[in-house]
Amino acid sequence: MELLQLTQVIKKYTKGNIEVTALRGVDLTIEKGEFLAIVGPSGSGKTTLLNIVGCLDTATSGSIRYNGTELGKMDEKALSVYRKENIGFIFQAYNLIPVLTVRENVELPLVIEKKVSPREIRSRVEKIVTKVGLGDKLDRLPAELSGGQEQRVSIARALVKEPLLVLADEPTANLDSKTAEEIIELMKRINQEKKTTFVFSTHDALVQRYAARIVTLKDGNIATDERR
Amino acid sequence: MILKIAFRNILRHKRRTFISAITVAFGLMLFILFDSLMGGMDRASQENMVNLTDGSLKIYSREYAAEKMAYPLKYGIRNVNPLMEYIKTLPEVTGITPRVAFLTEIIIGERSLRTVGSVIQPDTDPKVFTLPKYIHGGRFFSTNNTQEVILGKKLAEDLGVGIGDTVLLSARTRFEANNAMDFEVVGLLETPAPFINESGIFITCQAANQFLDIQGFVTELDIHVPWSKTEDINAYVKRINIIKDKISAQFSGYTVNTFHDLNSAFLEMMSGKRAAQSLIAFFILLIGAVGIVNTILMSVYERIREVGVLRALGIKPKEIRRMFLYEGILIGLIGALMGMVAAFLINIWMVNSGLDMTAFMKNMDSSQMPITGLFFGQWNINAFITALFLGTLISACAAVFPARKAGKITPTQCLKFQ
Ligand SMILES: Nc1ncnc2c1ncn2[C@@H]1O[C@H](COP(=O)(O)OP(=O)(O)OP(=O)(O)O)[C@@H](O)[C@H]1O
Ligand SMILES: [Mg+2]
Repeated sequence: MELLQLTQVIKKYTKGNIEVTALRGVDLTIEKGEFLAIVGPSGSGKTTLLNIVGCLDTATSGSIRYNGTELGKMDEKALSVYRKENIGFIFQAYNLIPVLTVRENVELPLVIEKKVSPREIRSRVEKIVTKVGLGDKLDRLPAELSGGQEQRVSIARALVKEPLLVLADEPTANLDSKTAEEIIELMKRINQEKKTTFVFSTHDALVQRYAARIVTLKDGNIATDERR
Repeated sequence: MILKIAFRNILRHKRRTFISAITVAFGLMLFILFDSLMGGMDRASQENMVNLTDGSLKIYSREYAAEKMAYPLKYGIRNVNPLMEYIKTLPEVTGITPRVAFLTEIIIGERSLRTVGSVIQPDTDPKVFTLPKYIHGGRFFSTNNTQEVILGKKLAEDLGVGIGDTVLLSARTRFEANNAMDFEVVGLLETPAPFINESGIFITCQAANQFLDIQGFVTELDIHVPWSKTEDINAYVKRINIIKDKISAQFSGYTVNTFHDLNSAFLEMMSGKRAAQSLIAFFILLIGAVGIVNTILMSVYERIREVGVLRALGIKPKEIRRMFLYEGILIGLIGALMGMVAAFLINIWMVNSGLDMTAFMKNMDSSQMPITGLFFGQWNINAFITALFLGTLISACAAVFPARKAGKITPTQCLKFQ
């Protein structure tokens, strides 16, 4: 079943008089439960594509259907509600709130939503943090963790609301190759256990090996799209 | 959660928080101390009027009141005794004494000075005026010797006389005859009222009987109604006005004035001055506000990424603004508390020991001022409450601009996912 369908998505940035076209009509369909890597040289449009899919930015033209809903015509406010409810994010680095503990960082998306009871929040947070292997670090601050551990907390935070889709822009770029592999293995395991869809960008060949499908971007176009 | 993040950020950057709280604290401290000093100055001048120059209430004959700038000795108070007896029965009155003001010239060899002298009754006067307290050198009047004079210390210094010296006073008697008499200087006065220090000449009734031919005649009655430190001027004036009305209702032909009536122009000027001073204090507080704007702005720039993450997780711009607003308010509160504690401690000292500003006042003509250079502070709870309120309000206002900036941050702008 298809989760996401992009048709002829174009994104142009204008800075002063200069116009940059970052995406030149991208057609892409993503099925539920996929584990998809977006690769390509620097400047090819990976981040732009993820931003648009993640409703952090709007496309200049084209259609984006998410789970049957057309997002292309939504305004910033509606998009932010949509993003809050349906998408988990893992950023490259520095993405935990430094003054909050691991527990508080992970519960943040639930607390913002105010839909879940405190007891439920507590049990969900503990469960997910244990799942990413940091059950004993719940009350630590981000500064007390290693880069890999921080990234695990980000994954826990992205998953705590059990979204259908998790987006990650170069989630392993700041990690050494051994830690990078651990992180991608963790993502893969969750993808298999929970059927959560993962879309991530990467430069790392080692990380690419774990992807079930690799989409290669070049100059804002999809150059190759291979499933394995 | 937003409040939690704000609070922890405040604690996290202790030094920065401290520095900007200090600017607020400093502004508020100055504000409170300024108010204390001004209040203390006002209070001191009012107390000087009551205790040294005018009494709580002063009674003249109506004719004398009309010409009082000329100090006419021909208009005395008629039927002094029944009036005094009646006033003594008033429960709030603790002292009443007659006085006579007279124009005189004090002569020492070549030098002379024209001024206004006071005839006082040595046994009852201290119940109204606190002159004996301020004898610095020599003593107050003895009961047997009539030829004594007490001078303001500054006056004596200017004229080059000291205790035991003889001075010649010349004046017109009640019957317009010129008279001159030698007096022995027995005491020097150094009071908080510059006017007395610079031109005060006091002689006794007995001496005046000969010197001015007044024979028990008096031109004014001065009444003392105790004024406690905790009672503010308005309540006190209201109280003594009731006494004034009672006396006026009972007796006609007299003019009864409170110290407030006699000094109304000056007292009004003082309250006007205070409004201007509050404005100055307010500008001092604005300096603290600039500190807060700066701190929060720094905080915003430093945490752009963090704001981006929060926005991506679904926190609304409104709440981002609120987060930085809280930070400003918290810094303001911390600053306000620090300022209040500092002001409290310094004010203890100012209230008890006073602040010696004599050096600053050297160049001013202080003879017209009702107080000397030693300023005491005053406790004013309102100033503390105002400071707390103003401090918090100003820091909230100061945080609005940076908070708005933070609210405008969009997730892509600061994250760009890299
Ligand atoms: N906010 C922006 N304003 C103007 N141009 C932008 C903006 N964001 C991206 N671009 C441009 O769009 C193009 C695609 O950028 P994008 O960040 O999507 O590339 P990328 O594939 O993520 O590169 P990298 O591998 O270096 O992260 C680039 O030419 C970039 O300069
Ligand atoms: Mg990128």
